[in-house]
Amino acid sequence: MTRVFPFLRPPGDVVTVGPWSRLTPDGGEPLPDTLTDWDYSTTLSLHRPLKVDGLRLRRLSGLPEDAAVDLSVQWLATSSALRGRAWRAELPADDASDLTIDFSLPGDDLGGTLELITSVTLRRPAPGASMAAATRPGSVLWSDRQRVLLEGENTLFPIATADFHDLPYPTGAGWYLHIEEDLEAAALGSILLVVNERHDVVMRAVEAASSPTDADMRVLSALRADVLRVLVERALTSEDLTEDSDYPIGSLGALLVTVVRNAFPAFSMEALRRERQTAPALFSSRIQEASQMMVSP
Amino acid sequence: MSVLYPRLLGDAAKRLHQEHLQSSITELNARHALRHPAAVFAATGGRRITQEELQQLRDDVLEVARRAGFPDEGRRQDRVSFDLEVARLLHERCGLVAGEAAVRPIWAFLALVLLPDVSYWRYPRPPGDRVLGTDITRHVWGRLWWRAHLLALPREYDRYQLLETFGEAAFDQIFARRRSIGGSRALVRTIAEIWPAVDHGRVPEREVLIDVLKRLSRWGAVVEFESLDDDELRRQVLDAAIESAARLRAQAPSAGPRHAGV
Repeated sequence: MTRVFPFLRPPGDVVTVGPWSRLTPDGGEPLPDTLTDWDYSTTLSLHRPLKVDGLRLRRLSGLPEDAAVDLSVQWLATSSALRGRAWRAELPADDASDLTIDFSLPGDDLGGTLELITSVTLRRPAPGASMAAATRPGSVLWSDRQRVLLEGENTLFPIATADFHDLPYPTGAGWYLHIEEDLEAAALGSILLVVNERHDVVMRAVEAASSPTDADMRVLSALRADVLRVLVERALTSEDLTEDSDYPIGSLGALLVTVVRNAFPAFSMEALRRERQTAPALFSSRIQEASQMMVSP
Repeated sequence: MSVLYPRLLGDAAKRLHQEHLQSSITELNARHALRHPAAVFAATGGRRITQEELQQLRDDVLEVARRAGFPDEGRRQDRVSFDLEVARLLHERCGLVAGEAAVRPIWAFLALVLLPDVSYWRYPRPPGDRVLGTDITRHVWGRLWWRAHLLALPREYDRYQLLETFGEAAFDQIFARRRSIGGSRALVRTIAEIWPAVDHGRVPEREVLIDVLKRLSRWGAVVEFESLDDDELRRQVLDAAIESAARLRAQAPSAGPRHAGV
């Protein structure tokens, strides 16, 4: 969705952003799309260089050279639906400022997808500004977003073990993928893979997931294929879920759309729904192929 | 490290709710438990809460409930005080981080297994969303934790002083719209801070609040509230409240010549 701003904004090239990087005890590394080693106790140390033409930015925003303008970073977490400010500094009125964004972000309020929003905003109304210039403090003159999936081991699909004798699932089944109903809710926390403690073969494979034997790998392969099947079927049986559905970032609905798109990039959801109805065996084989079931070892 | 709570999944929760609806508070008291065979822990993400900690949490909530008249019906005002005290208690002592507190089946466990007697006392014959893990904004315990989390002040001696600002129905409006006002704790706290100064005349508080939230949501499309200093944020929220209150007072059929501003 394109936002219409009721005030002048400069072209995007007044700010040249460098890459986000993450500081670790071993030095720095580019911030990846997915942080697999993240959990709530992690404090992220983030860093980003920028070059800003503060004079051109002000001029093309209709602001005088001495207008007070800030550069700041906000974070937004999809699992908690919370946001906050991570960092802020005044933007100098120079034609080529080299700046460094640098802050630490504790994990308490984070989870799911983390969005880092870098913004240039007006700090206070500027006397002598153009009639078309922003006047309300906080008006966003320029912004940029980057998303990072915070996914500790098994976080997106947390695993729990339980005796199926006590649960409303078939006692002899190996696992059950629990998916909540609300497609708008955060995906994290809406999906739980429950493994049956009575099923020795599956339990052994799940417990050995970090160093599995060949036999364990075949079990895990079947498990992964079934998880994909359940997720895809959940998406296809929700009639109102389409490629164009506008579910919030990090929500269950958005995750299901992504799962289907990644598994079947060549098929529309409508085509998959039709095939599942009219040729279920073919559809089942397609899931096997998409999940690379038993491909290795 | 975050504390992990047992998660009571949908089917088991619904079954328990149906059973509890047929039971008296005394029967529910006898049926409470520290574990349930159908409740599961996530394998990673923190440490599991102990049985002793769950017992302590139950004892603490029961003590507050007794002061509010539990197990008798009690007065409405007592239940308001109960909610405020429990909101603070849950937020201070549960050891939950926001990501975990957004996991709805943990709230179903608290309502249906650990505290069924107090849950069904607080909301007699409750609709499912009060006790199941379907909607945290309506949940007997989950909504209180989130109310405290959104309103707690970061570095104050009395961190929870803003909890009393809004009635339940009014706060539900903020909570339900937390995504559209950006989930900003700074913004929610600021609305609570300026609220006592807003003169809404004869217009119900809830109506004014809804209008303020819509206004802030519109401004939020082009303004980054998180970039503002506290004073400037307070000024803008107050402006929104003054505009909303003035507009609604002028529209109200019985609006008399009360106060002109806030």
